[in-house]
Amino acid sequence: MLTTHDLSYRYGAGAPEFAFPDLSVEAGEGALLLGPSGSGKSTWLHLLAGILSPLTGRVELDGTVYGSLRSGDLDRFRGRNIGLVLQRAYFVEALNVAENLALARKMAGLPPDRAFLLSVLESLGIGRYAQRKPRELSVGEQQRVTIARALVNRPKLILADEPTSALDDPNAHRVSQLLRERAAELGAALVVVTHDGRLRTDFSRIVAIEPLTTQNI
Amino acid sequence: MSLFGLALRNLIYRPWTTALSLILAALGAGLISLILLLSWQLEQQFDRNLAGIDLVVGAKGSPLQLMMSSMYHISSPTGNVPLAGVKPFLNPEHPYIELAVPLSLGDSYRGRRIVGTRPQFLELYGAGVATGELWSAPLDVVAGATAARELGLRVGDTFQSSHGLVEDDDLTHRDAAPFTVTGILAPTGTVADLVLLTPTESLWAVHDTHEHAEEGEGADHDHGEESEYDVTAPLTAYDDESITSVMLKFKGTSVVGLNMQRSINENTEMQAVTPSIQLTELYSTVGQGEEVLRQLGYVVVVVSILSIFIGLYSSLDRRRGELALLRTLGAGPGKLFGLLLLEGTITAVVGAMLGLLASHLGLLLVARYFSRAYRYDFQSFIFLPGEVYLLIGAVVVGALAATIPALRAARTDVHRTLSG
Repeated sequence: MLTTHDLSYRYGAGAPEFAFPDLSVEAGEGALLLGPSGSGKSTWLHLLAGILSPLTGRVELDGTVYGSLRSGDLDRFRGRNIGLVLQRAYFVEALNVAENLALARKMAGLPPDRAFLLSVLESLGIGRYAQRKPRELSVGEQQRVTIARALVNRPKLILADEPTSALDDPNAHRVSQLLRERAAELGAALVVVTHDGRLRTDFSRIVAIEPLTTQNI
Repeated sequence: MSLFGLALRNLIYRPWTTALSLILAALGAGLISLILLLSWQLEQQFDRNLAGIDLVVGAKGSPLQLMMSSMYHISSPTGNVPLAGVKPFLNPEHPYIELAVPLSLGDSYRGRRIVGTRPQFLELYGAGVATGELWSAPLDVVAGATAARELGLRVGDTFQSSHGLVEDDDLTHRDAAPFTVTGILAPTGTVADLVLLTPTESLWAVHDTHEHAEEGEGADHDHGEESEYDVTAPLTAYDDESITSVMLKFKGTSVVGLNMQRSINENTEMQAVTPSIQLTELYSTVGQGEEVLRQLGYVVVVVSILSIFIGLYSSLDRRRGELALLRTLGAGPGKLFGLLLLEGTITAVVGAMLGLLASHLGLLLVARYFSRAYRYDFQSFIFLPGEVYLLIGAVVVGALAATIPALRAARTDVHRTLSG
């Protein structure tokens, strides 16, 4: 499903270069990318999401090579096929929870699917917050809303950036479990990027990232 | 939810910023539209009632006042002139004059002006009798359409006039013979609608009776009084009476008119006024005030542009994450640009529409005042082409104010925002 080859990135000419190991994650499979702060985890995730373009190498999702798409098409492709759970919970604050999820479908050019939207919220235990503004929810609840939003387009790939760093042990495991269950249910590949060692036990595939690999200096 | 809907929700989510921008846009647009409407209405009223009059001849005094009282029935007449003086103009055989309309002013009935004249008045304004018939004796009245409607006058009704042009019970000619309505005019859209017309002799008759009664010469001879006058005869038949003014329409060129005006002003105790020149002067006087207000309107528009700009720009910092999120959800930079542009444009257009609404409501109040004070009718719900341009202008202004914030939104660095 998701394969990367020879991926590297550099923030401007002369800056140190990040090189990332090749990765291959099948549908319904999960992978944990583990590394300390500053190791280029977020950079890797953004490369996998098509937010950044790599210096070398390529990313391919379900037969589509990111590099072959123009920027507008890549935005649309991302909206349709990739569910992102971001480090911080961002929302369109003017809209309520259900509308935020509906907006995700709209922005990806998908038809509204209210029944699925509500069932996703329900399965994450936040169905009763559908009409509330995200601001009115607790941090943990907001986190679940962002997970729901990542699922609502039935993506082929779910990318999660530090989804558990702000949570205590029981909640961290519940969120990790939710992500793995839903991804398996949707048949999506799941990639979690974190420095949170607690998740080690939840994933069979773990890729450790070395702090700042400097090959070319 | 469409981009438009999203823009709307974002605006509602920041109610105070949006309200301030709306109010400023409404003020600017309202001010400009009010000026447009007022000057259009005034020029309409004045131009429609110009009726091709080349010269107004009356007593010396303010030329503007003579014109206003004779042609527009606003403000007081400058006084009376002896009939003997204006007789030459009233001669139907005059080689240069196509139409001469004598006017006797100064009396009214419940605020509506009574105008003593000859049937030429109807000819001048293209008025025709709709019901009843034209006068045939002194104290017969033909009412203008609006005047009849507002006073509730019908053919056969009688009333007593009062001295002066304001409604005042104390000044009613109580002991004078009453006027009788013999006809009602069809609406013309001119001043003919607003006044009560009667033969010139009626005013003499009323004041004759009046004076006689005051002198105690007996109150029972008003019937005899009427028979003294023949309202179908030319006014040139009388000698020792006086009237207020004469409105003249010339045959052919204006050179004759200018010569006649100069000779009247130099050689007689009367004055002659050219309405088109007076109007031009009036417009330029009014125009200066108009210009000041218009400039003020533009200043407010500039402030409203700034307010929209600052509102959007300052919201960008708080919405950076939100905008980056939209990018990750599949919205390209163009969509973010469009979103901000829409937010600015919606604010400006809705504000302008509120302003137009306010200016028309304001005009409604002004119109009520004008119709009470001057018996003039204003139309409050006419929309001018200028107002359409105003709305188009609002679209441009909104887009202009939003361009820089929209560009910044489109350039949101998703990676940096989301990792920061």
